Amino acid sequence: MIWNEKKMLDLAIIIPELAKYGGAERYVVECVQRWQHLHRITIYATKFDQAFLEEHGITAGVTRMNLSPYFEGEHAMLLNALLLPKVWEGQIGKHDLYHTHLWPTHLIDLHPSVWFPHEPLRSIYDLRHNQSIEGFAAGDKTKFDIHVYPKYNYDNIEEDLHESYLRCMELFDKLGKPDRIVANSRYTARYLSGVYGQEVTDVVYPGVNVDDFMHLQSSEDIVLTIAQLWPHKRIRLVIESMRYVDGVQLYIVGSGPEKAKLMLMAEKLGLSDRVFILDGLSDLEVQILFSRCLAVVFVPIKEPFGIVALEALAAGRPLIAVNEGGFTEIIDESCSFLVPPRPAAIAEKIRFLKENRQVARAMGEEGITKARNYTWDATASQLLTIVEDVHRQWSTHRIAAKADRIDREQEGLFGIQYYCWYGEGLGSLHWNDNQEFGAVTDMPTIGYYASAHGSTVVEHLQLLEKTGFDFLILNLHIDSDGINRYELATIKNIFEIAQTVRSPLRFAVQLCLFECEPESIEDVMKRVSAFAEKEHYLYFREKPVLFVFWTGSLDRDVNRIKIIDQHTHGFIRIASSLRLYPGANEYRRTFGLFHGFSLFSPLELSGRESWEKIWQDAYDSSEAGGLGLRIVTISPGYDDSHLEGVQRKSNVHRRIPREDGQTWKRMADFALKQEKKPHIFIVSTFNEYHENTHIEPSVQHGSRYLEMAKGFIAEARSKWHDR
Amino acid sequence: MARSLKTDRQGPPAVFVDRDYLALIKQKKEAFTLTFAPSVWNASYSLVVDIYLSTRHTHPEGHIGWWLYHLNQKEDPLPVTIEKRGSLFKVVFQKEREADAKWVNKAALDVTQEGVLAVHLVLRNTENNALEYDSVLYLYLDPDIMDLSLARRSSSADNTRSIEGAIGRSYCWPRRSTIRVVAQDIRERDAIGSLAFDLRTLFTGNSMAAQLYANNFDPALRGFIRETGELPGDVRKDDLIFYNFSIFDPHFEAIAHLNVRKVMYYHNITPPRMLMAFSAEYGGLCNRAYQQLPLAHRFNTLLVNSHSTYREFRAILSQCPDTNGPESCPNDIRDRFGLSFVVCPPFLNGRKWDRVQEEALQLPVPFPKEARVLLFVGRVAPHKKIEDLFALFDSYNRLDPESVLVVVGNIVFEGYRNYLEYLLGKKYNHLRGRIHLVGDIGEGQLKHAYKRASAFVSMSEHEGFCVPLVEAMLFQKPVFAYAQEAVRETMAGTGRLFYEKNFADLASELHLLLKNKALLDEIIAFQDRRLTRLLEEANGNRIWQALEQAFFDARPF
Repeated sequence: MIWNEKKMLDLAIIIPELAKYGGAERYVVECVQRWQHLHRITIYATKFDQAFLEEHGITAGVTRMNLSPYFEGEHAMLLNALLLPKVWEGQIGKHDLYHTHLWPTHLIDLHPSVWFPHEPLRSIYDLRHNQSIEGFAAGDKTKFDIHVYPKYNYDNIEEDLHESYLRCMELFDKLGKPDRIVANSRYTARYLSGVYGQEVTDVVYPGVNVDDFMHLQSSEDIVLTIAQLWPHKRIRLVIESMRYVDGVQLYIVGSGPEKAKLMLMAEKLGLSDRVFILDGLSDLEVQILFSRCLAVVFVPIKEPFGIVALEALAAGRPLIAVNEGGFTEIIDESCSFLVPPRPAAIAEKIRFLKENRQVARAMGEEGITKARNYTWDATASQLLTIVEDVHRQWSTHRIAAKADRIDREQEGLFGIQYYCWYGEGLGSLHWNDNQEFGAVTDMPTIGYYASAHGSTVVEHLQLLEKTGFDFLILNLHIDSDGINRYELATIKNIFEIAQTVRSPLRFAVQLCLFECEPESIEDVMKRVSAFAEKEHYLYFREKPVLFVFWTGSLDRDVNRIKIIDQHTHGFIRIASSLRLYPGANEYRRTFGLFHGFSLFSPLELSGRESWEKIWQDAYDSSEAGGLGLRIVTISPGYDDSHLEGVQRKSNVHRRIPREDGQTWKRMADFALKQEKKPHIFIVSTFNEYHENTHIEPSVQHGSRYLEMAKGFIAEARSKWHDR
Repeated sequence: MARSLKTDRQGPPAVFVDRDYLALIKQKKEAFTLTFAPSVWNASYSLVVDIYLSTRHTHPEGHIGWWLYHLNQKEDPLPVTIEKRGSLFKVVFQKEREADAKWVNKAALDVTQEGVLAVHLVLRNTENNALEYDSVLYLYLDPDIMDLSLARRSSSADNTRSIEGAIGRSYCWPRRSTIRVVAQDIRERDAIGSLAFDLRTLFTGNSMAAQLYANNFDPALRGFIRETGELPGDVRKDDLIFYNFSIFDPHFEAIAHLNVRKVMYYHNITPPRMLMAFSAEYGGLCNRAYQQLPLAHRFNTLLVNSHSTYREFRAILSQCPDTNGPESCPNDIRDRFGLSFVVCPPFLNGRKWDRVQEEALQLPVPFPKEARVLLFVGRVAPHKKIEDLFALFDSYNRLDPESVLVVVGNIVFEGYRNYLEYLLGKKYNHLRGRIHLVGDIGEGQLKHAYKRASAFVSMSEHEGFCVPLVEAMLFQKPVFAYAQEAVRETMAGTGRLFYEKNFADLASELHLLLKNKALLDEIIAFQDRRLTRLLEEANGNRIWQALEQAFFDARPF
């Protein structure tokens, strides 16, 4: 075992339920039992059966996290197929790898991921036309009974909606992008490849613990079948086969909505004294049944693997099965009879084995030999190799991306302050919705846009990419009411859209803290940490960057600063300061909270005669931050004179005209003449219309300032490229 | 007040035979007549006369043959003749009609070694071939065996016997009234079977007419015990039915609706969950028994073997979806009839052991004289948790290497037998020769087992009363038992009970207990006091009380 030599990973294992003994659940418990001492594991599921986990030696060291339960009621099937995986996605924390089981966990867009579907959603593919429509004959409204594992009940879908449901689910089904798909048989691998158009080459068969079974020489006149009671398991055929066999009992182990129907069927066939349906049995009881039976019958339609077949072999009992499905890859005629799905054909083999016990015994012995080739140790090892391999590849990719970032860092990064707070249309959020802080005097060229709208985001990203920016600083406000939910939703959209359009831009959040509670800081940082996991988050020197809008109001507030420090640990924290930060004294005010300082609004700090001196002082005070970052900020001008906020009135520098671009040029020249290359350039701002610092194309200024920014970035890159 | 026995409830399909046994000793033909329950004519049935060696009910080794006759039209009564020609047999119907279908074993079996054949009278539904009725009639071929069998029957039917220690009834009983004691199974050395036999002895010993009925019984006792299906035809308006309920009985519904006085003795139902892996068939019958239980309200008096059983009875009824309104629950039995339930231990003949001749236990390997013997007596069934006895003994034997475990009782299910043997062969192979599953033994050997025991040990997880606990107390053996509710009630604070099955701890405790004579004496002294009380409760008085309530509407004091 070489596992111990490897780095311990933080693995998330996601499975809809972990409360019953299906094939997928078996994989999970058997693997977790073997992985739990090698990696840190968190299992996410809607339901856990504690006893089931304990029975399989899953220790308390494995964390269990609950996911939202399945929707019930109208349209539940659709909600469970489309919405629920996205709900789960939001509930799953950060881990090194996401190993998901069953459908539709592949729609959880967390990476790197290894999806073990066990089977596609068969009701939209090969079983699409095998659904029960008996209600057509009886009810007023015709309904389809659709089964989605692991639910125990049917979703009843009205005929009018049925096709639309399935088409919708089929469409969404294809949107999942797991990094690797694993199949439980070659048959399933081909099936999955066909459905998802992605070659599936990883096949991991299940295992079985041969020594768990009681190998008795004798057997009783009992035939055993184990399956959940759904129509495609074809239990009906097994029951009907009993008509052709005298003196043999049939034990059916399983539960499901077909139970009552099957019992009635047995009664009508005069078999109720010989056919028994059992559920809720313990492992030991199932093993006892294997030990008692003459043979195991297994006849489902194209079972993806069919672990029952392997268990029959391990139990030393002959298998009578249909010649289809994954399990046929591991058996042959020495231990099994493969028959067509006909009651008489099944019965013939049962009779044969009843009358030829020696043959049955010999087949059982062969089965045991074969089963020994399939151990859970091997299964767990193979699956873990895949999981670790995917993680390794992902890490390699991340390292390459990191290297790219480092190259760009050497040249200096160009960022811009970006506001996400605008609602749609004049009069809505921040478009003249109030005079205190919402008034505007200019209009974007694209109109009074909604920040959250995808079209806005796409347009802005394209514009800023073309201008040459590397990153955006996304302002997120937190006040006594908590986080600004609209900004938060916008930021989420920005990350998702950037991912979709493969934008080269990166994004960092800027916290704007205004009289907020400590709980709000904790809450916001949980969300920012989740953003930091995204591919598009800004990293600098291998750490995510967090900007903090710093008015100075929290200076020397040791408790509040401690809270911020505690919850933003792991980030490179850069102050977007409204005040100067003399290097020698800064520690006394912010106690080393910041790794870097920048000016948010350099034009407000003094009269124009002192600008260069003030800016230079600030630029030279890089030691105020722990990392000594040199950051230069450029603004086109400043004017908030139309705002009626009381505090603003005391600002003597509230109106700094753009001077036909001269203000911008003065700042740009200051930046370009610096001997020491800046680490970061920041334009303040892209779209702060209240203070008229925006460079976004607008009615008043056209694209002029954006073009100037483009020229500045090009010149700066050229100047410092070779240094 | 005139009572009518008319009922609209028909019993299940059944075949009645006018003979208690058949014999082909000197003659070559034996004729008998069959009659049928009315429900036979409501559907399409075939009668099958299916003959096996009585000691070997396997096909084809012990199978003589079968003869099928379609019951297309009402032929009631139906004469049947069995003919023996050398070693071959033939069955004809209606004196000379051949069977509609038949199978005769061509490998003519040597029946001369076999004193008795089992003639199964079978009804099969012709629509789906389901077997709906099967009853056995003995066909004697050997006169000596027949004589022995008849002598046993006469002995059982001896009306001059009485129950030692039982008190007599305190009221007059009408001579016209017969008490019909019914149970699904009546077999010797089975708790309910023993009670049924003792009840009959109690009644006949007190000059009361009594008749036993069962669906399953030793065919040698046919006549002494009649088929339950015959009860509705036998019963008269002044009779009293004493029904022992423990499992599904296809006749129960028809009996519950008979318009005569009825007492129901509820012995409890074994939880099906505990049985399913070893016998889904039996477990299924227990499940169906739950569904029949609401009919208890049609009985005049309810007897139960313990308060624990009564609580279980109420719990089952409260969950039963078929419970039809308030009259179904036992409290309402009391309300409606002015009667309350009667708790009565399920045994009468507590002092019988004095008369039992002790016999040595037949073991393949006798255990050492000084060895401590842990004894369990009872049905060897899954809910008795014999595997836990093995586990306890495994721990105990490490502390006391000379000790042995003796398990006495009929192994009920083949699957459970195989499971226990598997455990003995694999997990507890080192205890071979120390664990003895002796099966169903006679009373003489059982007496020896009790006398030789150091302690009575039980791991049972379901009991209604547990008569062997009383027997252990009678033999002054300390009881070390899992504290299942009924066990707690029977022991009433005596013995040494445990709530957790930590085998190592239990073994240690038992070992210390068996070494501490003073403590043992104390436990026995307490058990003796409890025994005295139990024997008083089982002196028959509570049976008389129940009959008095049921028959005369006598209210309890």
